[in-house]
Amino acid sequence: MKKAHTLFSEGQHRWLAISRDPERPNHLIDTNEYVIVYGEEAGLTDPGGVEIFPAVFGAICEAIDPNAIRWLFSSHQDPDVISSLALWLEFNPALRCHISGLWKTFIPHFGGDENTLVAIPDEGTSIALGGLDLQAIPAHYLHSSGNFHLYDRKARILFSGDVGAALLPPESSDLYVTNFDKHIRFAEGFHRRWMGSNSAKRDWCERAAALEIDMLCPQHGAIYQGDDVMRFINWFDALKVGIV
Amino acid sequence: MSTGLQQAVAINESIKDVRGHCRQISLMGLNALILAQGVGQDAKGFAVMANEVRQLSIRLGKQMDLLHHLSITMLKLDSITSRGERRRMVFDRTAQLRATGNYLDKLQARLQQAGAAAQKEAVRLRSELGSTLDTALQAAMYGIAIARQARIESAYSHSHAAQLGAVSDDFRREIDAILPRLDELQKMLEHKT
Repeated sequence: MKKAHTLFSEGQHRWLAISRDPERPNHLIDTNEYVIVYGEEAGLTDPGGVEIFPAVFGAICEAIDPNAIRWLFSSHQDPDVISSLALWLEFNPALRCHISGLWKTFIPHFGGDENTLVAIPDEGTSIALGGLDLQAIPAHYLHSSGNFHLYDRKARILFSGDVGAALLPPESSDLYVTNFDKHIRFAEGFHRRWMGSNSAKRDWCERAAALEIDMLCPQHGAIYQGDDVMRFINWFDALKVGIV
Repeated sequence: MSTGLQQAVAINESIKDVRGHCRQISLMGLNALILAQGVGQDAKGFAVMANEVRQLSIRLGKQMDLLHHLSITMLKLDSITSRGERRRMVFDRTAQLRATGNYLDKLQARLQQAGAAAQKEAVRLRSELGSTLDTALQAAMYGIAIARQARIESAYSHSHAAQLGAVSDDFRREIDAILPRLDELQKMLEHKT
């Protein structure tokens, strides 16, 4: 069963990771969902697909009151990212979903309408959560043509969607990267194939290197922290992508 | 709106709240025992009651852990039901638009079967939740008697009467906070769809 792990906690401000589901069938890619709590409000990143909704919802309920969730942040349009949208809206029709404006008419195929979806402009925007301002950071073409990451300046955490993702073997259950060199082998093939643009990648690396990041949290695989964050950015910068 | 899911969330939140009070009682029980031991002979009667508080907190804690586990299972079951209902709704809409023949009927029947199985499991879970809740409620009622007795015993502890009396009052307050929540939970469970 998925479980919530606290990544950051300072007063009323928390980041929780809902990760690693040992009961997940192997035909589904493993995903990490992140809950950002600030005071009475919460936001949820890449809530996942329809099939894993019960596991994600159950894990969230153990940690917080799900009624506190005000918005979903969808890094892009993939089914493992946001196909559970209709179920979240069944639970709370007032939820809003922040996503690239590019996907505004595509995502309603999963659920929701023009009131549900809040379009993020190409250059990014800030997203409020209680008294906290989070930044939607452009990550276009990494891998989706309309793609954003979510940065919390106060917690120094960057939710990086598919960037940093690693397809780890089922027996791997570490929440954090413990051995970068060993870990990155499980990320290399994924990044070469899924990330389509070397120039977009260079832009992102420059943007990310300018941010103060203690933790880089991908949607798949383990979390990079401390020196491994910059190690990852440098590794990614040097990687040739868009290769079959 | 998925009412079942909302109700399950409300039940789970109430259980979390009561668990918080139970943790408080557990700490109080320990604290009361240490205090009574420190006072010695004068708090002999109070020590017996402090031990009762400790035992009660362990019993209540176990019941609340079980309730929490059952409530999370119920939440997951409701999430699965919600997913099934969503699919059923889509198929219903499709059937209204076009004559879809047997294909959709078979799908609908399969979903209905899954729905009925989930319903059966939900009934079983609700009943298990109900009986666990009854046990917790009985334990909490017994807590009132202990609190009352501890208050009386504290009066016999001479110079420590005020201190031990305050401990008994704190315990009573926690029990008083739990009881209405458990009552409310029972009502929520009765109305759970």
